[in-house]
Amino acid sequence: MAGINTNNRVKTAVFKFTCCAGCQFALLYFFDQLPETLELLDFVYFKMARRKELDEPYDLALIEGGISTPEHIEQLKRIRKQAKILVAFGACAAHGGVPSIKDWQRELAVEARVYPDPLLISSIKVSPVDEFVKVDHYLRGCPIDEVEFMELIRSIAAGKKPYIREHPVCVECKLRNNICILLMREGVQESMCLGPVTRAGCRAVCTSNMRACFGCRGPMSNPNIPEMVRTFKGKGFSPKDIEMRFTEYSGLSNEFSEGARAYYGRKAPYYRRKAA
Amino acid sequence: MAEKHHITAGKPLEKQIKIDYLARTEGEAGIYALVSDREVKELKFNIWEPARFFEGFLVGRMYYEVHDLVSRICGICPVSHMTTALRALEKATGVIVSEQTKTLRRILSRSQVMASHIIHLYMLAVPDYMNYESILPVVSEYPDIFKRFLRMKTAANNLTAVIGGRALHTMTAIFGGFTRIPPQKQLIEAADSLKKIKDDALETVRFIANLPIPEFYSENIYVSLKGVDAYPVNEGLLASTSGLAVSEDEYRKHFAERQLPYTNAKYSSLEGKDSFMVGALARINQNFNLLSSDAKAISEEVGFKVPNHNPYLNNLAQAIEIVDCIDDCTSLIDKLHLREEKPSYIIKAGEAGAITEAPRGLLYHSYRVSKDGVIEKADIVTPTAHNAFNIEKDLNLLLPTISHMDVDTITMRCEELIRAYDPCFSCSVH
Ligand code: SF4
Ligand code: SF4
Ligand code: SF4
Repeated sequence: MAGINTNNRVKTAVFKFTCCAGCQFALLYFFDQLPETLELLDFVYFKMARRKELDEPYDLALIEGGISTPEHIEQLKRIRKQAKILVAFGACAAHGGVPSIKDWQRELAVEARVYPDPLLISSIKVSPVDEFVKVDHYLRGCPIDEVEFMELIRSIAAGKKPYIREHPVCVECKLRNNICILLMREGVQESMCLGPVTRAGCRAVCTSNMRACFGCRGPMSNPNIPEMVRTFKGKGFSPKDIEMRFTEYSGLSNEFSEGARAYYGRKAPYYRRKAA
Repeated sequence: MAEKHHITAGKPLEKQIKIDYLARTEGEAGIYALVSDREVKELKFNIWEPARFFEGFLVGRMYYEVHDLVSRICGICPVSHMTTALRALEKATGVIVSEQTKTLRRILSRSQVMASHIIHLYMLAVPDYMNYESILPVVSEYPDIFKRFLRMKTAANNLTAVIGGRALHTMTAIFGGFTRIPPQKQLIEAADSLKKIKDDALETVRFIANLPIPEFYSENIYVSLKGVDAYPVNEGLLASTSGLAVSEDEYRKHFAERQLPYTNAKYSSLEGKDSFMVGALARINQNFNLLSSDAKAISEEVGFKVPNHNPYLNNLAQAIEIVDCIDDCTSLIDKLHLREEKPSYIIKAGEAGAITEAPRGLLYHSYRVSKDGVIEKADIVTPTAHNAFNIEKDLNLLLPTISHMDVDTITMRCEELIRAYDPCFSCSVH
């Protein structure tokens, strides 16, 4: 633990917006694996773990979930004012995650399939956190990865910049000596691997289990989306398959929404992102 | 967060119970109650968790991705959503999976039930009874309890990871089977670590049984799957203590949902009127004879008898189930001779539903699929959505019996009751 002043614990607040709570739940999973890292955090607000709300200021806000109600926007802005460091915690916060699939369809049609009276439900399009506030760090993935979490927390505690990877999952996949399933298996949906355009940091956990990367960590820096689309097309996947793959976990990112649209021929999703 | 009672001239003493955001549960909910002397004037159990519209946006998606997407309904029971969706979709499209796949799914499901129960008991429910506001002080003041918790959790998580690829949001289970069959050696090692926590599990039952759990009698209708020759997990008869005993295909004939203005979770009712309870207590009340002999023995040792009508004892039922899960998984793994197999199928149109027992109880998924494998309709009802109406019923029953106590105690009792149900608000508003 060289370099980290363990007396100087980071006052941390965990907030949940629209999501499955899996990423904050992962913190409870890390309890036995990363005790020294969790020791660095002093949770002043963490609803799933403690009843008492300490009326104390915090430095670090971990934001889990996408933004999907007008109240969320207000709360998020209040948190931003308070926190020195704001982290988008998981795919939902970073890119809208699974719930943002809704944004690719007509809002009211989706809502009316679920509720007899959708007007009683307060809901807007799902957006990533950075649509409304500045995000200092992204901890991507659905769910987040423990090693990357450790890197982030230790860096914050030590006051240095965390090393968050920008290269594709393929690099980590190769480092693990995996046989490439994109090349090896023909036509099976299970070979539709987004690894070449997805940001690493998960230690290629899916492909190591013979499962195609579905892009939960969002785009790497500078991905070649048109080539990825051509590759899938060449392997016989349908426009529908390709649209589905790009919109599962991080479809609201500019890069992946481009991938989804490139083939499907739809002008734009109903949801429009601000130009990056 | 409890507010002080207020006195209005000429009126009996009224107490206001207000919890805006219930802690140590998954997701977001609160209660508002106004009680006067032995009378509930107003009660609202408000699940304000934001709606995610899974049943809405799944329409138009492909059959092969549904199980992954629905597993993101819940970070605590993703395996249940996954397995239920897979079974419903396979049924809808006439795909038959191997016995090996069924067994692996059963072990995977039970490993998740174990992990979920362990975390619920130690981290979410128990601090109440030990007079702590979180597990954090337990770590230093009762290191033995905390270490026991970690040992158990690690063993359960490890089993999930061996089969599923990782402990949270597994990825190996897919439509038709698995992408990767776990190495037999790793599975046997996982079973060995389960055997090592057997004593911890028995100790957990004794520990929970000795907590100051309130006496409270509420005769509920219990609904769960009923097993024939094995404790129900992913299949069984849909049964209730009020006499229902039908196949899962009949679910929609007997269970209805309605939307209420003050909560985002739809309320389920049986035969259009009754509330009912699902979960560990419901399962044990209906399947006690199918528990492992050690699970039965420890129940007897701590004096737990069925039918049991104290909803707070759902916690004890969970502890007993952990013992049964260990026995079930280890004996299944001992008998298992794994062989490599790859899913293969032809997709066709169809519609079907499936019911499984998630950690928190009855979970229903139903889908209609087009001939091209596109989802045309999705219907999901989760355990906490099933329980929401009954939680409100129980609060109504409980409040008059404790209305003489001070507001803080009443608030605490209500919280404990709700937490005993082990609710997951994320699931309930999926
Ligand atoms: S990113 Fe995934 S695991 Fe994390 S909260 Fe969202 S859905 Fe859950
Ligand atoms: S399997 Fe996927 S992640 Fe791995 S090398 Fe191939 S394309 Fe890249
Ligand atoms: S391999 Fe892809 S889908 Fe799997 S965790 Fe990594 S980024 Fe996410």
